[in-house]
Parts: sequence; structure tokens; C-alpha cells
Amino acid sequence: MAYIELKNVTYRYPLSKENALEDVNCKFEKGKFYGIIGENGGGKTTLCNVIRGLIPQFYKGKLDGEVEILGEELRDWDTAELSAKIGYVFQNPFTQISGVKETVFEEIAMGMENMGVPKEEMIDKVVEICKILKIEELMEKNPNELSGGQRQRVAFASIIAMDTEILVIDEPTSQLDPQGTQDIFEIISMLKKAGKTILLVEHKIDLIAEYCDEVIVMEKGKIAFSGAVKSVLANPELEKHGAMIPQAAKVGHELRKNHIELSGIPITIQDAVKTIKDRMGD
Amino acid sequence: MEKQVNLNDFYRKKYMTYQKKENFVQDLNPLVKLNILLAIGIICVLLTDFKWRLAICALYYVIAFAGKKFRSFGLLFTGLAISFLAFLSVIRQLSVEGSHVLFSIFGWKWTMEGWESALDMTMTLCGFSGAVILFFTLTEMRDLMYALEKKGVSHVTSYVILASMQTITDLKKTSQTIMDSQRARGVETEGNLLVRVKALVPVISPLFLSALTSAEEKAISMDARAFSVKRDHTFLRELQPAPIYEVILAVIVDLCLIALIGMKITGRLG
Repeated sequence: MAYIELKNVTYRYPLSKENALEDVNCKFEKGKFYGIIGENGGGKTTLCNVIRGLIPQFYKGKLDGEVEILGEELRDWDTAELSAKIGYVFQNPFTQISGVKETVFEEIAMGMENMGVPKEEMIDKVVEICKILKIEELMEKNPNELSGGQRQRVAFASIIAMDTEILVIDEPTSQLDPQGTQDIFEIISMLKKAGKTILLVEHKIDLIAEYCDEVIVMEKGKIAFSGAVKSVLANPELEKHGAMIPQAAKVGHELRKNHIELSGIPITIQDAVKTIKDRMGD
Repeated sequence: MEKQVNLNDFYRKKYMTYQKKENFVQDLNPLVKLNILLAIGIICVLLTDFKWRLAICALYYVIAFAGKKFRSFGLLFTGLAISFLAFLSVIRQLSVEGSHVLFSIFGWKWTMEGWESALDMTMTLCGFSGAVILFFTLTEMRDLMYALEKKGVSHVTSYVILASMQTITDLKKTSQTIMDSQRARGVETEGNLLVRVKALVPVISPLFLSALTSAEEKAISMDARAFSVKRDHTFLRELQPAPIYEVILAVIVDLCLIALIGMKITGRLG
């Protein structure tokens, strides 16, 4: 059974003349890591908002089709309860700070306070998360005075601290440097290993190729491509649909163009190295 | 590994016990403190005798000193008292008629009665507002909200109040940023009053629009933190429930107030 399923979903924001999502069909299975990529304004965030239940409860507008989350129809879910099931990290790190807590430690603990987690457990969890995210030195700082990158980490920490089964993460690395980005991906893949289902919107295609199980490419509110990461990202057509393909795949295609046949199109650097080595060994 | 043990221990020590500032006045339970100070404020209004009022105002300074907030309270309260006095002096000279003329400015006679009335009103206002100012200088807003939440006030109310405080700070910061970018584009933002006002006007609309959009996103982000989940909340920071001697203290002050009201009603206070 699918964990989350969308059937013929069409959605239009209020006052808008165009559909933000059009006839979207997709399934998400438990324990998998999904990457959502595509052009700006392609509907990635809207898709997240639907899954998170913000559409149609928070953003009004017209939603057609069926959305099933954990076996229950979206419209039957109490949004508040859904927030305890699906963690949602969204783009803008500046508005994700509550503004009522005086230290980062308390900020990260806030979600757990709301969920009624016992205090001792809460303290251990916050310390653990801060160590994983390498933000121990921020713990005593005022969350309202952090830089963009720091806030983004704190916002991310605040959500994963809540230990929800599903995580919807919308561009968590927009403010981070390459190392910070790599770290976040490491953490997400760790969460995946812990059995969480993850939906990640990202533009950094090489990292998507390295970590995700499946990829969905959105274009103009529709799903242009979807499937296993290897088959989708190796498709040269991707670039015509507003998405990028990984560098490794580019190399693969170039080689093919020059009549150097490889066993397959690689999508990660490691993959590429191996494929090319194999080819040279022939 | 050693560091982990330390961090866990540090935060357990910090949060498993009640939050204290190691100062008797500041550590009074917020609601007890509110009760006592408001009662004193009302008492000050009821006591019409000048000497009593002065004594109570002096008491505020003493409490502030004991609570290690003498400087911040003193500056605010004294400033307020002086502005009240200055403002009321003029107003009362205009509205109160009297026969004891002290001096006259171009035929405008300043009377003793006017002065007395102004002083009396200043004392009344300061007597009460002093209590309020003292309370907020001695109490952190989040502590007050915690105490109220424990008494059954909804966490939404508490959030709205606390977040508004932060929003004021944030808006100030945003307006400064907008002003700076205006200046970078060559817009005059400094100089006389007219120039400043002119520079401020175009700032206002982007400021409020950005505040509105961020309010929407803030709502979502709070929702993401399971804000509306209907479960009993836990509190990371906990305050000591009011011990018995604090309650007794509050009751004594309240009894004084009740007695005073009784005297006022029966006419024994004058």
C-alpha cells in the first residue's frame, strides 16, 4: 500500500488564472527518499503544501482529485494532527524561527513541548540533534539574531527533533555553503536509514543523484518525469523540461555522442569513474 | 564522547530544576508579584495624602533596588514622572482657577491651586503607573505568560503576545534595513524633521507588506511545530509554583487594600 498517494490532483491558488498543479498522479512509499526537482514555479512547493495538508486548509483555492495520506483522505485529516505526522521544513529560514524563545536550545525544543514530550527526553533529544547538525556552539544564542545559514540549520533541527514519520523538506540548503549542504544531505540520508519517508525539493542535482531513491521532475504543474533516480536522471530529455542533469550524466552523454559506448549512463561521480574504468579496461 | 556527557548534564541541570535568578524580588511568582504591585498601585491612588504617596513611590525605588533593576526602573520611572509633571503643570494652570497667584507670564497667571492640583494628579498617575512599570521591569514577559498558561490561559494568547514583542524588534530592524538601502540609492534620510518624515513615508508600505507576508509564513511554521495539536504541553522552562509565604505576602497586601477600600467607602479616609 502506498504511504501517500495523489490521484488526478489539480489545484489552483485563489485569484490565480492558471492551475498550479495539473492532473498530478504519484505515489510515495514508506522509507524511501524522494527528490523533487524542476523549474522555478513548476509546482514543487505547491506539491509539498498539498501533501502537508496546507492546501486546502490554509491556502484556500480549488483542489480536485484524491489525496490519500497514511490511508486516509486528506480532507478528513485534522491539520493539527497531521502536523505531528509530517514534519515540514520550508524555504525561507527567516520566518521559521518562532520569535518567542530566547535560546536556540529552547527553540529546537518547542515542537516537542507542543507535542508533550517528557522534559528529560526532550533535553537529550535536543542535545543529540545539535550534535548531529554541528550547531552546539549556537545552543545558547538568541535564535532571532542568527545569520541565514544558521537559522536554516536551526529550523531544520527544530523539525527533525519532532521525530515525525514523514519529512517534507523544501530547499533546506539555499543559504548553506557546499560543506553545509553536504552535511544536510548526510543527515537526511541518516534519517532515511532510520526508516523515515523523505520528500526533498532541491536544485542541487548532483546531490540528488547521489542520495535519492526516486526523483520527480515537475514542469508547469505537471509531473514531467518520475521514477528511479538512475533512469530519470540519465535521461537527456530532462534539460528540455527545465531541469538539469548531473555532471556525470553529461559526461556519459558526451562520450556517447563521440561514439564511445558505455555500459550505461552514470549519474554520480563514483558511478562515472567506475563505468569509465570498466570501459577502458575492455 | 566526554563532551556529550557534559552537554547533557549541563542542560539537565539547567532545565530539570526551576528557573531562578537567585534574587528574591525577581524570583517571586509572576502572578504573586503582579497581585502585590497592582494592589500597592491602587492603594497609592486611594491614599490622597501627599506624604503616603511619596512614601509608596520611594518604596518602588527600594523594591527595584532589591530586585537589582534600580537603574532601568529609575530611568524610566523618573523620566515618566518628570514628563507627567511638566505636562500636567501646564494643563492644570489652564484649567484650574485660583486666587493665590505665584507669578504671571504676559498676563497668564500661574496659581498655587493649579500647582497643587498638578502635583496631586502627577502623584496619582505615577503611583499607579510606577507599579506597572516596576512589574514589567522585574518580570520577563515569558515568565508571566508561563504563569498565565499554567492557570489556563490558552497558549495561543501567550504566543501572540510574546511574538508581538519580537515583531516590534524585527520591524525596527527591517525598517533600518530599508532605510539603509534607501540611503544607498541616494535618498536623503537624515537632516531636519521634514527630510526625515519624507524619507519615512516610502518605507512604511514595504515594511507592512513584508510584515504581513511573514505573518502568514510564521503561521505555517508554527503549524509545522505541532502548535495546534491538542495535547498537554510540556514546558522546558519551569517556574517554581508560588510558595506559601509568597501567597501570604500577597494576601496581606490584598487585605490592606480591602481595608482601605472599606475605610474609603465609610468615609473614614476623607
